[in-house]
Amino acid sequence: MDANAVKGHLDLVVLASLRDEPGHGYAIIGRLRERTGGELVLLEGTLYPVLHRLEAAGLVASDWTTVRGRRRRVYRLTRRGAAALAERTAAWREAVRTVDFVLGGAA
Amino acid sequence: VTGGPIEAYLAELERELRRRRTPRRRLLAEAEDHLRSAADDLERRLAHRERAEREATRRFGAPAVVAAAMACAAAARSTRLALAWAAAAATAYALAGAAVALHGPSWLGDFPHGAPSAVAVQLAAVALVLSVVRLAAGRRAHADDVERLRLAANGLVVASGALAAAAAAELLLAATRPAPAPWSEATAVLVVLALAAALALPAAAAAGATAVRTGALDRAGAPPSLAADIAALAPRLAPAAHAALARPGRLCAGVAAAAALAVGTREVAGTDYPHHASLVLGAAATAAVEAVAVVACYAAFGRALGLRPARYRRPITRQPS
Repeated sequence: MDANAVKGHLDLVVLASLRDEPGHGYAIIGRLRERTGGELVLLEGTLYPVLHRLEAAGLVASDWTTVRGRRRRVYRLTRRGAAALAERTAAWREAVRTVDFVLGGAA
Repeated sequence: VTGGPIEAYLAELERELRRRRTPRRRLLAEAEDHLRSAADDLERRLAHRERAEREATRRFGAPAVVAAAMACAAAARSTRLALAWAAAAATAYALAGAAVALHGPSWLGDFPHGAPSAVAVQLAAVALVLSVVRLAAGRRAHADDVERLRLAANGLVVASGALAAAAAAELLLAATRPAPAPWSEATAVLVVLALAAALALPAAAAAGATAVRTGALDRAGAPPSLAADIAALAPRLAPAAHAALARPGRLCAGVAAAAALAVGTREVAGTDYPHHASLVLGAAATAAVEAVAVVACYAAFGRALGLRPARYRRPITRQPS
């Protein structure tokens, strides 16, 4: 699946990848690949602008850590981010149900 | 420094970020960690360090693409910060106006005093509202739209520039008042006004920096129409917004006429001699100035604020040599 297919919903996908535990950019890419069975092909570098935007909006927070001598920025979901994730998940499910209903009717 | 593919990639990414006036340090640190982690994993599979690094950089995306996305996110942050400054300056200016009207001496009660200041305040209010609409529509779409950001930044430059101009006009008028004006009666409200004026300067600086940053973003086609953005935020207003903004020139003429009527009526009603010919003529002159100011502002800033369609730019084509 091309990233364009989820364009506009990338924030939701990234927030969902941080739901269970914090993670750095490379780990988040790994989770997305794992959870979609390698279906979601994302230019990995474009994840960072999304993370920075979510952080500016207060939906995620981050800190530097050092792992094996390498500096790494680890992101975690904030309380506001968790609420936004729940809200957007519900909106997405509603949209999918609506489209499915139309597609099912046309089939 | 080994001079391998990752170093070359990071150097190119830094150049692309610099070209777009985007903060670099944090993204470069994150990109380096990401690329080295990916190369470590890939090396186990490919058993070749350089190939692993090349594959890691390929997956990360072309430096220009990553830098463009990063520049857009940074410009969005900068625009929201500039909006906060401009909103603070506008609020302070409004509070200063209220303080003058409510607590100032009667001779100072007709704030704002000068036509330039009054026009600037109205222009600032319109530009600020348009910027808020653009940013709110972008936020609702969960995406940073380059052209929306550019229009919002333009609006903030116009709003904070107009507020700074209004403050300067007020100070100029105050300084050129006749000497006997009893300024000591109004020290407190003048301090409030001066603080509001001072706040307009950092607001203008933040808006200017944001405009430079959004100006460096890659062009992304025509911006969404103002009517579409209003419709996205307030679906009930969609028919009115589409109808009003379909002919922006006519809308401008209508607003100019309404503003002139309001200003003229207020001026006549505010006197003790509303039927005196000279007062009526004076009010008519003020109304005409207001109408001309609205049309002039529309002509000068309409395109920058997205009220008028942008001029078509003929694509540059090179002749084969």
